[in-house]
Amino acid sequence: MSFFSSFRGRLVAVLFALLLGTQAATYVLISDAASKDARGQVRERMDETTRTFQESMARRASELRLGVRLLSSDYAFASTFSRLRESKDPVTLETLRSALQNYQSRIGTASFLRLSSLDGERIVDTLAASFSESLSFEKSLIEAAENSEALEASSVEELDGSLHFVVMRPLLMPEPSAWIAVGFPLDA
Amino acid sequence: MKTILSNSASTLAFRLLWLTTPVGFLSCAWAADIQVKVADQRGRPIEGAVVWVDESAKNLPPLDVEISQKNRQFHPEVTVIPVGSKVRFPNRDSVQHHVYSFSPAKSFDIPLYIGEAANPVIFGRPGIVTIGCNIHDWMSASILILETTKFAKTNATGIATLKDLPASTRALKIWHPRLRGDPVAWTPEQGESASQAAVTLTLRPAFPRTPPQDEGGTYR
Repeated sequence: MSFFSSFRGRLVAVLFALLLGTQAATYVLISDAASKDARGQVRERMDETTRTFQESMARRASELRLGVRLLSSDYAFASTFSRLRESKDPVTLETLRSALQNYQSRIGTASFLRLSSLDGERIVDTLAASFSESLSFEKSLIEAAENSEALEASSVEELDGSLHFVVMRPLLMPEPSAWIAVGFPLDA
Repeated sequence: MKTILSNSASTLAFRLLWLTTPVGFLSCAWAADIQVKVADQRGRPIEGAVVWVDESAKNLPPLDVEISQKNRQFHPEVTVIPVGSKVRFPNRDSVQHHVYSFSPAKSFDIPLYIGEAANPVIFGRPGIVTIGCNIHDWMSASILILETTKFAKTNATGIATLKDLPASTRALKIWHPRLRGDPVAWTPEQGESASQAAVTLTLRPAFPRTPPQDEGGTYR
């Protein structure tokens, strides 16, 4: 006599099957809810991270803009650049580099500053020579800045394999006489 | 009586005309007007562009002009003078100004002052000088130093007329404070009228140069 041929056996089998079915349904429901909750939490965290990143970017970009605006109307810097224009003296060029480094530390968030001619040719910057050569965004950013009412433009540029946020603005004496680029790395 | 007077008057007028006609003819041979129409890259008329005869005249009579500072702005925004002219920079504001120029044609600075500046500035080389104020970034004005006295500014329709020029005049130059680059040269091309010039200038967008609103320093 087999187990399932008796009434008792079939009852146990049905009850067991019911128990298994209930557990499976409970598992599916709980698993789905947990998964949804986890996904929701991940999304919230990601949104929060994105918001924090964007806020941080906006704050740093704003600091950068403020810094480059101050430099673009700096009388002492313009005066030094005027001397370089007249004499092409290497000491004056180094003085300008030093002044740019000083501004870089004042701005804080800036990782480099570059002074270029009105045609976009590099005059001097705060970068190491190897980086300096690999930076070639001037022409397009200058064109964008020239055509904006605020004479200012910004974009994300690649510098030696990493992305940088860069702001371009003219050196005003008081007419635009050169271009100043200032940037910071996005992954720092 | 009335008829006699009238006849005498007409005879006199006829004689005058007869006498002056050759002079008029001669003057037509060496005096001509050139009308210049200046437009931007989109064909819109440009007001305030300066048009002048491209020449190197000597012994030009120097002028004595002023560029004042009032309401924290320079007045006028564009001044045209012959080489050797003097410019005074009276400050009629209630705050000090520090007027400067880094332009190669004339570099100078007049440190913080109010009222009359100590000495006028003499502009002995032709060129374009842009002046600013060290402590008010928006203040800017231009001085155009020319080797000619034959110049004109365009009106609201973008037209300037240079009057009574020698008929041989062929070369003009055109400039505007927002011009990108050097002044534009104009000469009539083959078959083009020498008395009508149409010039296109590529201008920078108008850079905001207005003083900030004075909030009166109220505590909020």
